[in-house]
Amino acid sequence: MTANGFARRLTRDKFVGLIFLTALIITIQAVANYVLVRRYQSEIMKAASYDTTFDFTRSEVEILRLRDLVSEHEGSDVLSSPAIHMQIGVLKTRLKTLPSHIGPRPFPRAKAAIDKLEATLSLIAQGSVEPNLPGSTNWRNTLEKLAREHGRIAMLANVIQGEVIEERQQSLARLMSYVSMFTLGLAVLGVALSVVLFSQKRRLTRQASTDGLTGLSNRAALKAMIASIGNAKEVAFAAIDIDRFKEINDLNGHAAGDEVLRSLSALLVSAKGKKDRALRLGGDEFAILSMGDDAQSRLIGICERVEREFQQHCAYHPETERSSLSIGIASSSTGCAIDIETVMLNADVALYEAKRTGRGRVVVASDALLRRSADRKRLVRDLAPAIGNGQMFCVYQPIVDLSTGRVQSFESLLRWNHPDLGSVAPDIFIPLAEEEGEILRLGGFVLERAIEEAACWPDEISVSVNVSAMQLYDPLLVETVGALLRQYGLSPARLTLEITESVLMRGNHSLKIIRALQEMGIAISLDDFGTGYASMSYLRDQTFDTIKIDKSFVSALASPCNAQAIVRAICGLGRNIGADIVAEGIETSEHLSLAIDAGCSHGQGFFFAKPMRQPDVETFLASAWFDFTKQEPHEPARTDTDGAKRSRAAYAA
Amino acid sequence: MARINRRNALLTLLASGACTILPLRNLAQAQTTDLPPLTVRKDGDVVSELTQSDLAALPQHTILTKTPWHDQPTRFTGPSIDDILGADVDPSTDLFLTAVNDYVATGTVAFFRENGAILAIKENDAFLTIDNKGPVFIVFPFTDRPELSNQKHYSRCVWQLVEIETA
Repeated sequence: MTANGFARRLTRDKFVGLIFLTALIITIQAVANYVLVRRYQSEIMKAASYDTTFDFTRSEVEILRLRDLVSEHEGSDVLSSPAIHMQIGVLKTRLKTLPSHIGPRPFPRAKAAIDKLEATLSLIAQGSVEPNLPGSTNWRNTLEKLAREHGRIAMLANVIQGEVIEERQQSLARLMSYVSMFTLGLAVLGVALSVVLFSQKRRLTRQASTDGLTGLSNRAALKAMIASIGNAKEVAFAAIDIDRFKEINDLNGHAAGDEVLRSLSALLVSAKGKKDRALRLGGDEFAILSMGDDAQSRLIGICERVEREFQQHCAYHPETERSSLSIGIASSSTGCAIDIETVMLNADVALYEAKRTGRGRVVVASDALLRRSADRKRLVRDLAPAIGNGQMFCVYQPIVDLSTGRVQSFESLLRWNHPDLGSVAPDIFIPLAEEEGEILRLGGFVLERAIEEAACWPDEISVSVNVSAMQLYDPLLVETVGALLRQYGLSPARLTLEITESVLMRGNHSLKIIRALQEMGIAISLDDFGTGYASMSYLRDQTFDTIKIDKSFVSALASPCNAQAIVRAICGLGRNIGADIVAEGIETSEHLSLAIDAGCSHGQGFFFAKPMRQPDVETFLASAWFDFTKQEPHEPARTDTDGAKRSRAAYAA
Repeated sequence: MARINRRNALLTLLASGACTILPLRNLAQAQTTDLPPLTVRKDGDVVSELTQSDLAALPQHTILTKTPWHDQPTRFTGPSIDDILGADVDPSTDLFLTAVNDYVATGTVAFFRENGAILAIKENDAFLTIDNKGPVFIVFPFTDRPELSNQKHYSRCVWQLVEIETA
């Protein structure tokens, strides 16, 4: 960051500026304190330094000693005495150490006394002072006067030193008061800074836990709320989603979407109880957390009111569309330890159920619902391993040529025998496999198993296998099928692939694959015809070897309605385009008669046989074939139910 | 006084019968320079008398420092208290230091040892004279160790030191 940028930031962000300023002041104060304390220390050192009084007292004594020595040696050569010589040495050393200042103050009188002493000593050293001469008394007097002067200077130094010490004490006290002032300032600033930082932190925390658009608590706040649940007897949680919110945004703009979000949050706030918490967890996900007695029943009431009000008033486009909410509610069962995570997961399960069952409704996570959800999760978990470990297997249901009464082929159907849950219906696990991306593996498994097992059947018996849309999108399907046929030695003519209309609606790619399969000699059957769009265009563009009429038409044949006419028309159509017509769901002899009457060429259903496992196929064929030949030529009765019963008995034997 | 000291030292040295040559030579030298020797006493008895030459023959240490009496950094040279008393002397031993001018200071062996004092016999490589703090001047490394710059240490800077007495 450049200095300029930093300065800009300081002025723009007041908080940063304030912190910076405070830190600067604290730093300056701390540095000032440091400097002051150092000065204080050095002043104390000075105060403890050399004592002038002591020095001059010593010099006084030493001068008097010299005088005495001189007196003792009166009449002899002063310089020849080692004692005098030594004492002069002592005084010369003293000269070098006598101070002419007291502290910072010059002390002229001391300087003069020092100079006088030095001059006197140098006179003695020159030998110019001769005690035997008349001047010797003067010389003794000189030393005596000098000693007295040194004594006086010692006394004066004592007085001056007192003043100097007093000054130093005052200076120290002043320094100390600055230090105390700055220290107090530091303490005050420290407290002020703490207060500012603390309040700033609180503000940020509040900001971080509030949703900007609606002002509700957000997901970050949920954690704190969960922590505050504490000893609540019961906790209920509602997960609320706006239905088709993406469409609202896409079709009416984000401003409209935001308006819906705001109006819903206002609605939640007005509808919820005092102690309930309303949250926006993100996007169009809202929630209410309720605590205390009867939390769940209160929350159901609130949510139902919110749903009603929202549908009435929260119209994002009043002229045309109205929005709705999907709401899932769950609660902790009373008496149990509250596990809010589980409660929230259960509420999501209920929400999912509300969406799945048509949206715009409130669903409470009942035990049954949760069990179902858990089972579903379990199936999802167990699905992938089940394919390889023998839990999945194929069963076969015969398709009978109604003109001869003989079995022409078998439709392979997938079964799952779950080790704990028992037999799982295909219409449960097939959609799961599609959602979980396992459908290709599953389809491949059925294809291989059916081809492998059909290869063991008599040559004239074919097998038909259901192929999903995903498989028909797989560019490797043609190769895979070809390889499987070669591997198990099954003629392509004995394989029929059953597809639904929905597969064709996916586009040209699937059509190309279908043609490629047909070119290999594989028959294609259009399954569940009549339930989808039943568009004639498919029949125009595509050659089908078989059309299977959905069992809903077959069961409707018995009642007085248009079914009969429709089936008859499809049969006529099939004959004209060269396709066999298979009537599915023939369960009674009556169904059989009606199907034959309508012109169906083949039939499939419980009346002939339930789906059976591979070992039973051969037994079934053997016995059915045998029985059939005994009654040959067998003409299934068209109106005679007894005949139908007979024929059924023949198949079933 | 000085003569008595010298006689006592001679008696002690003769009685001990050891190291007689060195002190005799140094006695002669001391007389020529007019400097009293440094007398070491233990419990009142003279242990040794050391002239500047004797002291110069001991291990020498140098301190470059200012002092309250030297405005400029000055180089002092001389032995340490351990060089004179021996390194095995009890650190808690009290020393009484007496100068020519009857100045007296005290301190333990540990005090002088730990604060790096030396018994300077030279100032800027010249032997100390009687006119300039000779024969011995106790000095501390004030410049290297500013914490020593106080009265406690200044008062132990004994100049013209002539006697060390151990209790």
